[in-house]
Amino acid sequence: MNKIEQKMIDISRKLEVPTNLIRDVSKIEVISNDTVIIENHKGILNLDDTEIHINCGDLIVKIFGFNLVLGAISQTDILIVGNITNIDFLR
Amino acid sequence: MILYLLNFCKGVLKISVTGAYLERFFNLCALNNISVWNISKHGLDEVHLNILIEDYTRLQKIISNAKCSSSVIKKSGLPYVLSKIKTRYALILGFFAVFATYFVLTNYLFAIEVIGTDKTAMIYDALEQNNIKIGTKLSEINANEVRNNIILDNDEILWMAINLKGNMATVEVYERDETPEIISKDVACDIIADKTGLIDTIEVLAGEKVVDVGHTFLEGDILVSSEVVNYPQVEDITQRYVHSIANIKASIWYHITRILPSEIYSKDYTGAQIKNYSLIFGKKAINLFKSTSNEYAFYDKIISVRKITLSPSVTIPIYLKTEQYIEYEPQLANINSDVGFSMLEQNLLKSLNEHIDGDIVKNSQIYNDENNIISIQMDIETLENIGVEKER
Repeated sequence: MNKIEQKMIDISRKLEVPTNLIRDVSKIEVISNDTVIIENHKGILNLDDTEIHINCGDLIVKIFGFNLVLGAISQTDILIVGNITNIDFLR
Repeated sequence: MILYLLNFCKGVLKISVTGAYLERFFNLCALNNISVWNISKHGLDEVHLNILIEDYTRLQKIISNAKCSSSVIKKSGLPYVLSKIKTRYALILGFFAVFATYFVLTNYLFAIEVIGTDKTAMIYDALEQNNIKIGTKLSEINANEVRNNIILDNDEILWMAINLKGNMATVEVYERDETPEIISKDVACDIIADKTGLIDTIEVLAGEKVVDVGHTFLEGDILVSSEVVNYPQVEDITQRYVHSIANIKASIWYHITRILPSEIYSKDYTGAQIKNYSLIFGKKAINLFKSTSNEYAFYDKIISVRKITLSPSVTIPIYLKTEQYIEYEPQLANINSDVGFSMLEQNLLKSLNEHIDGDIVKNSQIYNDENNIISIQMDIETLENIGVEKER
């Protein structure tokens, strides 16, 4: 994380606004252990029943589980449903 | 739900995509702004997914770039429905016929209902003169103007309202009550008897008393005169005329006879009945039954005509007429003389009380039960307020 990014994070915290509004980062929303919604993704790296890898720019999100299905995909959003057991973040 | 309807209007394709690089396929979809949903995996290298029809051409290029193959599984949505019914001319004609019927039904007046008065014929005539009749275009009706015109033209109408609801007009009418003719206090008038009787009390507030307590009088006799003689005489003026005012109570006698047959026929309904239906279009009637005759010797005939309505406010110009024949057996029944006398007496006293301005003081009865006729003769004495004003 460079100095500009760190400064932007500080500003967003002081202004009490979500950091994803002023930074080009993904928003990952997990609902219980069966739904994951990722906004501002950069593409799918791996697609499998038990493991899905999503490219989120400077971060790779690895979702593990079983019966994992790509529910929907659009230019900005990805919906993943299934029984999620583990989520890893790889920088 | 809204998203589903939007997608339905645009048209949805369910396709199967097969290939080794499905991740690449999805990434290219995302990159080209092609929305993909309802993705389900079938085997290692096959997915089924939904896309919009408008994206299908662009998807073909992506599929070839991602080295995949595709096939259409199902087509759904409005564009496919329209293309299917395009050649069904009867259906399209029916649709336009329904639309035209709906347009006619909701834009023209089909029923007028008049409530609040018995003079419906007069109201219908007045409405027709103001161009409100069956078949008039609703947009041409100015209810307020018509209402004002009718009220101004008819003195008998106190207030009326024309409520247009759907294709029906409900006309609510309040009639003016007839006001009694009141003679002005400045006009000289006598008080005359409106019945025949005997004066019980007389209290004159203005005018000259003609009769006194204990005097008898006939209907039309002057009881209090408006002519008052001056005592002593002032400057040759011997009399003056006033508006007579008096409270007069008098005894009035009534001799009334009422009769009742002691044997009457009552209706013993057998439970059998026939209902005949017919449809009325304007002045033409279409019978929905075969024979007009019935086998009953004694029957009640009830005819009811019902307007056919699509909703409480939308009606169609067709009426359903129901003729109902209910069979009965006439049964001869004897009325007990005591019950008959009691009924006659009660009815007589009730009707008399409604017509007199006073109380019944005395009454005597003579009962008679002969030749299957129950009769009662009553002599009734009442104490009533009498006297009406009559202009001199």
